[in-house]
Amino acid sequence: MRDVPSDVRRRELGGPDPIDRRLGVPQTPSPLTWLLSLLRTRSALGLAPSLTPAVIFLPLGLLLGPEATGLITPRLLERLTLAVTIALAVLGVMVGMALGREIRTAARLFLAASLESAVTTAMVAAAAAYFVATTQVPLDASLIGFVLALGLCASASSATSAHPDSEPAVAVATRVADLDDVLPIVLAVFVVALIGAATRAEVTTMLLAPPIIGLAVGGIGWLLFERAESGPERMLFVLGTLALTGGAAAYLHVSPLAAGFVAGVMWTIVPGRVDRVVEKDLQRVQHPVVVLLLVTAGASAVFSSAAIWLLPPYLLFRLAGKVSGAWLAAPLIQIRSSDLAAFLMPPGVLAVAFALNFSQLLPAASGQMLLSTVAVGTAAFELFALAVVPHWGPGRRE
Amino acid sequence: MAPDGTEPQTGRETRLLVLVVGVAVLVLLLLAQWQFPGSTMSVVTPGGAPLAGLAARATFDEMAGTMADVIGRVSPLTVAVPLATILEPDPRDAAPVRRQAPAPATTPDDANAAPVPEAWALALRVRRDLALAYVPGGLTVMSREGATFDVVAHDGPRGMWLLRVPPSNAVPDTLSASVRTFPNFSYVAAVTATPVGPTVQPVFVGRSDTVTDPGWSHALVPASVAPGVSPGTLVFSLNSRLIGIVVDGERGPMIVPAPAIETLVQALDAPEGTTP
Repeated sequence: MRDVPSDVRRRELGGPDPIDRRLGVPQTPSPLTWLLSLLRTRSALGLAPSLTPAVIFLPLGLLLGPEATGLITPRLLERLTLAVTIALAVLGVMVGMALGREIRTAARLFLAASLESAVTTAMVAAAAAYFVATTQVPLDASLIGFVLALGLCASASSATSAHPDSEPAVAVATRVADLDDVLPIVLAVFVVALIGAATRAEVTTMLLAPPIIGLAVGGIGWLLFERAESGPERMLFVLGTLALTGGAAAYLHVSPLAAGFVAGVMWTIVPGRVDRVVEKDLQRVQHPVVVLLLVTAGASAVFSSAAIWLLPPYLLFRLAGKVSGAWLAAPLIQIRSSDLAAFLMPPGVLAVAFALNFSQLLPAASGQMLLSTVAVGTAAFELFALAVVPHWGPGRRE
Repeated sequence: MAPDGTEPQTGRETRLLVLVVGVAVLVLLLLAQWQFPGSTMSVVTPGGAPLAGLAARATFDEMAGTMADVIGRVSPLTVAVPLATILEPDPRDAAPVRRQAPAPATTPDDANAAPVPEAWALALRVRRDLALAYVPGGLTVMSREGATFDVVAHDGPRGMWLLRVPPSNAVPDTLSASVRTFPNFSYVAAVTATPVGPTVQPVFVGRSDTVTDPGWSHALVPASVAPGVSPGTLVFSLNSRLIGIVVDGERGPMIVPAPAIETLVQALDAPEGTTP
């Protein structure tokens, strides 16, 4: 019996053809690549949970941060503050553009999403206020401002753990999760003023600054983006405009999320294709922004006794708030409340973004406590969602 | 589905809601029975403004920031000690002895009034509960409200006092991490005592030529190389490492380098209290 060459045996019948010879023998996948592809395949089939960025990058940030290996030093974290501020503005633009497009056709979804996030915010804030006041947790910030900030962080949702095409309920829940960040961003403007303003004039400035910055930046972008002569020039304009948004918000100590949100809404409303231009360019920075925010939040987390003390009420009442909010909102959008609640469980990167935003504006100790609680809570809820969301995954029909 | 397009809630959904909210409230009430164990928030370094790192800074601002950093690091290593005029023979005339802390200088008329310090010395922590201070002649250490200073040893000829002070939480590495080679042509931080705590000012050291003094184990540097420093001043590098202490010598103020201070402390803290 004639031996068959090994390269022929592992290829198609008849041995390598001319195209194969030109392309060469395919590379054997590395064990890591094989494991990742297997995990993706099993996730797509509903046989294994999908890993979300928060599950990976929050612990990674913690591992690299000053609390563990120290590869990310406190000095580096301080220098990352500006990048984080710009990243928050980018997220605000994304949410603003999502609202600008959805609001015309899905006002009912927007109402349901706002109702759900308002209920979650109120429940977490009320529980945290009672818990902090009863157990005498020391705070170096206004109690009302702190608990409202915590509630706003809890209200964020991201239905990215399930494929949006798997069933109609998933598509609705995903859109609700997109839209339920709008109300917290708007409320955050007031909470930031409550936290940071000392006089009536400062309150006025901090309330008016985000929309003014957003409108100004939106106008600049509207005038510039479509007149760019090349792709790189347009990209430069987009990134420069976003840097201006974050920088102006940081200078005035107001929320970059809100300033970016106003700009994003404006770009979808004004005539032209500005929103498409921005969306295309933001796709290039979207993933680095998410990684930057999550790793920075993980590295900034300090597991103080106060942060751990605050974690149980945060977890419990975020869960209760999401279930209650979904129960109230579900009848408006023709979806079962248990389905909606399950898909709203993962907080996503927006919760971390809110926490980073507030931690920049709160006094240092309170800011660290809030950021640590929210970071750990986000990782916990993302893991919880891995167990909960697949039950409503592909295959189940009404 | 209801006629108006909404979907009514089933009993299962409502039971789930009641269960989740009920458990959350119950656990919250249970957890609220405990009091938070800590009484204060952990001390953290306040973060700067996001744009602060990009802003241009004047050279003087950088120096001011460096001085603020030095005083922040050095303050825990020092103790401000009040001094009073002594009503007894000058201790410089006596040999080094161990004794109890001298009483504050008071008269019968003002016995009930709080004694007012004549001057302040800045003692350098050399152990967790020991500090070394230079006290000019004619003055003595007095206790102040909230802090009692016991004299462990006293070196009269050099004017150095080893005091037992309220212990600090951390073991000071003042001497072990000190500067071994005296710097020249560089700025140093001159730290002095005030009634409200230590203060600092930058001083330029133009030369570092040394002179030999038989009273000290190591060569001294004339304080005139760093204008403005006076006896009792503690000299630190800009990275907060001890350089020396300024004392009054026979040939004018001298900066005693850290190795000489280390030798002196070992002698004063020895069982017999002998000096080198």
